[in-house]
Amino acid sequence: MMAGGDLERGRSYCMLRGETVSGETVDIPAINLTNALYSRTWTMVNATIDNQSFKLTSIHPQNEELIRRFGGVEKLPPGVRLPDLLQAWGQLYNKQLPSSSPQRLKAIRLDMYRWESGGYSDYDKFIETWRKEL
Amino acid sequence: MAQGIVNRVVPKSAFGLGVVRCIVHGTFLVSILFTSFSALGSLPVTILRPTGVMKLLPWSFYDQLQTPAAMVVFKCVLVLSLLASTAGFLTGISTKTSFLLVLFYQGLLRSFGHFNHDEMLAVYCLAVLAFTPCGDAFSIDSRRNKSATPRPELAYAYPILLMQLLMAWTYFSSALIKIRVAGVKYLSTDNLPALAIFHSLDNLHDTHFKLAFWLPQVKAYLPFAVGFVLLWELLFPLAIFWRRVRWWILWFGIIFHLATLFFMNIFFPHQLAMYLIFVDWDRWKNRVTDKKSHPMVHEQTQL
Repeated sequence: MMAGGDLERGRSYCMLRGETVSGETVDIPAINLTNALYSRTWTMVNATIDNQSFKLTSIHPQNEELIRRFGGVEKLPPGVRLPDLLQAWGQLYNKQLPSSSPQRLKAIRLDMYRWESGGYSDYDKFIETWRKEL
Repeated sequence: MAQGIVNRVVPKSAFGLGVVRCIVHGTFLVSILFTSFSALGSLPVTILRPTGVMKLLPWSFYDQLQTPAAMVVFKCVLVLSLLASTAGFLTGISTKTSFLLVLFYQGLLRSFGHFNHDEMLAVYCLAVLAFTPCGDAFSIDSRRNKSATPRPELAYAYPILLMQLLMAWTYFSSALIKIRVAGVKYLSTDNLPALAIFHSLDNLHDTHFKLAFWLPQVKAYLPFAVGFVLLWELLFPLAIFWRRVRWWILWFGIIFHLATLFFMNIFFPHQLAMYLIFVDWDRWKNRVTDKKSHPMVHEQTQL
């Protein structure tokens, strides 16, 4: 923010979406799930995609175990902990609805898009999805 | 001489400092009351990235804390402490516990996300209040202990001045950093539209206003708006020492923060609440007291 914005480099961003029992796809504002993270949700997601919790001087034992299993930090796929985050968000979303509601989620996903550099258009080039069945 | 300057520019009573204590602690109290800590406790501890001194705590501590039940207990402790400090009950202790608990809570949030600014000024104000006599008036303590020896006026004036200086520094240094990091490029026509649109694309921001997409149409004029904001930030310290421009500077601040909400989906409610530190609460109290003691005169004046 201090550096300002420019059109010279592209930027990636994410949309949190849910797939309901009735078959709809709905946008899920993350602030309605974890309002404590006010103003910080998007950076938490970016850090999770970038596996930043695996690049600390002191790593959580479960993350150390995962690094061992993959054979190194560099071999981890992007967002290796995203399914855990999506699981938590999916459960929080479903908790807000009665168990018989057709609006309950059967899956939750994070869709990543890219706004390519150069102009004020083409904002939504699809890049990748992380999906978690609930 | 320094005392004279302090007394001239800020409220200098125990009452003024007591009201400021109530505002700063009350802001966190209200914000935390409306926050779901059990939801926060549902987030996986494995995505946490402890920041600063938070790194000194062992993972076993975070494993215990980062559960819905433990976070609800943490919220109860926070609310009790903030209730006491807002009301001025056992102020000497409660302002310190509130400061430490809020500091830890803010550290935890930043260990999930990033080091954003909104609450930081208010956290610094909590630190100032924790070590100053902010419970000598406008508090439960002052009602219970009416025979307390009064302190010199400076003891109440300088903490308020310090908090106002902190706010002025946040804006002034923000302008300096922008100039240092981006230089003249900060005034480019694409700066604001590109930044605002980026913050309006996802649904992970707290609001989803789309006004940013209109900015490219008027981008030729935006360097003037950005330049004006930079100038306002650099001139913010005048709000402390020059009463005549104070309200112009603060009103522009409110407009600026509302603009960042609608155009960039970024809002600073805690920072805005801290603007109340600039209100001369002594003058407000005197006005209310005058109205009560001379109701007829007041009515005649109004007529």
